[in-house]
Parts: sequence; structure tokens; C-alpha cells
Amino acid sequence: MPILSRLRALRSPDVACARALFAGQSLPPGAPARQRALARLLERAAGPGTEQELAGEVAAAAAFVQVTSQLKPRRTVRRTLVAAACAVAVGGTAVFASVMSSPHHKMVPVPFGVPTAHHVVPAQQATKGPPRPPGWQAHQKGRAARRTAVKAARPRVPQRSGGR
Amino acid sequence: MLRAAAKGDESAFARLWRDAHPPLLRYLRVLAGDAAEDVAGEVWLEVARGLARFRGGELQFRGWLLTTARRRVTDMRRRDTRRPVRLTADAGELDRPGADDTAAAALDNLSTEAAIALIATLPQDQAEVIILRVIAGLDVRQVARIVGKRPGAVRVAAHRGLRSLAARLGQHVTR
Repeated sequence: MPILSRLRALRSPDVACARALFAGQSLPPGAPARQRALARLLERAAGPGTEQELAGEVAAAAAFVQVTSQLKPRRTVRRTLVAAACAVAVGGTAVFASVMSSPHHKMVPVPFGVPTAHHVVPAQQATKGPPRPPGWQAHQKGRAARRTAVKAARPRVPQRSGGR
Repeated sequence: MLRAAAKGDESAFARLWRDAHPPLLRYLRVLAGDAAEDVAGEVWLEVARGLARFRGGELQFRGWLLTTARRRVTDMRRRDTRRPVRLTADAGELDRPGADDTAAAALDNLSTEAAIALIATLPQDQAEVIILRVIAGLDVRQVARIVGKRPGAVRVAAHRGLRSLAARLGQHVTR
């Protein structure tokens, strides 16, 4: 029985009116006076802000400015700290990576006195540089030859042998 | 508007305030009575502090604002319970009903204040749901989240509240 009464209630004109009121729709023309009075009441209750309600706008804006100005320095300090921490972390990682021997992930503790097996480090591949202008190789050879000639022409200073 | 206000734009915040303050104040009048203005001030301060972290649209903002308001009212009630206000010798005078009947005023010269006052005469759960649904324009789910009830319970409270309101209005019409 409660289910039946519930279903009956759901179909009642009151519920239909309530739905319309909540959706902000106008009531059907044949709605009872009671419902129309209710609709008018809710309409007024949801009306635009009155002068009295909006009187504190200037004070609210001023309070907002004060609060945000207090928050900004704190935010800046926090951001600076985070940036510094990031820089230290990245720098530390870079230094650590450069200090470690290249196949550091393969390092194992070696017992004292036993010669370590050297890792075969693959030779660095020649990197491709930027495109060279024509005649660059000949220019390089000439430069090397000139450097050798200058070295050979330089008078040799006799080295001191022994102590004073 | 929300984004600009979150970035600290004063004029955007002022527009936001103009839109959201009236429903907030009306909601607080139902929940907190005469302390509505003070609580509203506290709520806006909290909103100003947290606005930069807020993510969401206008409806979510309203939900957040009204949830904050409800929490502040709960805090206020706790404070009042710990430090009850002692009434003076005129307590009897204060308990006497006022000369103006809110329901009658609502029918004679239906102003927004009178309408809110009439809604506030309902049991609080019903009044709260009606204010949130009709005035703040929130849907059943959002209202349920704010008041901490199931959507079904919110629907029931809203319908009961409307029925009671209609009955009260009807009584005054037939008088």
C-alpha cells in the first residue's frame, strides 16, 4: 500500500507544480490559487539582490584585495623555494652522473687483491658535426703543417740536467 | 569571471560577489537568522583565500560557497553551545511574538525579505532544501551533497516544504 500511495502522490498535481516551480517554469493556466500564490512567493524569494543585500560590495572587494595581497608574497616565496629545490635536485643529479664511471650500473664490489676485470668501453662514435664548407679539409691540413714548421723553427732551450 | 577573480582581479570578484551574495545571504537568513551578515562575511573571506585553488564552473562555485556557509553556521552553533548567551531580565519580553506576522506580510506586500521569512518558518531541513533548490538554483544531487542527505530525502523534504508553504499561504488567503 505505501508504494501505491507513493505512485498516486507522484502523479498528483502538487508534485507536477513543484517540479515546474523548481525548474523555474511558469505554472499551467488552470493551476489552483494556492499553487499560484506559492509560485509568486518563490519567485519573489529568488528575485534579484536588493539594495540592502548589495550594500557591502565595496567592503567585500576591499577585503578581497587585502586577502589576495597577503597571499601573494607567501605564494612567491613558496614558488621560489620549489624552484630552488628543483635546481638543486637537477644539478645534483647531473654532477652525480658526471662523476660516476660510465658503466656505473655494472659496478660490483671487488675482493681486495684480485685484479678487476676492465669493462670494455665502446669507443665514442664520431659525431656528425655541422656541414663543412668546401676546402675545409685542405685548410685544416695546411694549418697543421704550418704549426709543425713553426715548432721546428723554434730554437731549442737546453734543459738543465741534475740539481743546482 | 571566476578565472579572473582567481587571479586576483578585483572587478571580477565584485561581479562574482554581486551574483552570489544575495542567494548566500538568503540561505544564511534561514540557517543563522540575525547572524547571517556576519557569517556571510566570514564565508567570503574564506572564499577569497581559497579562490586561487578553486577549479570548476559557476554551479560548482555556488555549491562550494554554500557548503562553506553551512560549515560556518555549524561552527557558529558549536561556539554558541559552548558559550551560551545569557539573557537579561527582559527574556519574557523577547520571547513574545513580534507584532508583524511574516506570513500575512508575505501576502499583503510580498517582498523578498518577507518571502524568505515565510520560508524560514518551515522546519529547517525543508527550508534549507527549498532555498538551495529555488534560490541558489542547485539540482537535487548538489543539494544532497551540501546537506549530507540522499537525493531521495532531498526530494521528499522539498515536496513537503512546498506543501507546507502552500498550506500556510492558503490559510492566510481564506482568513
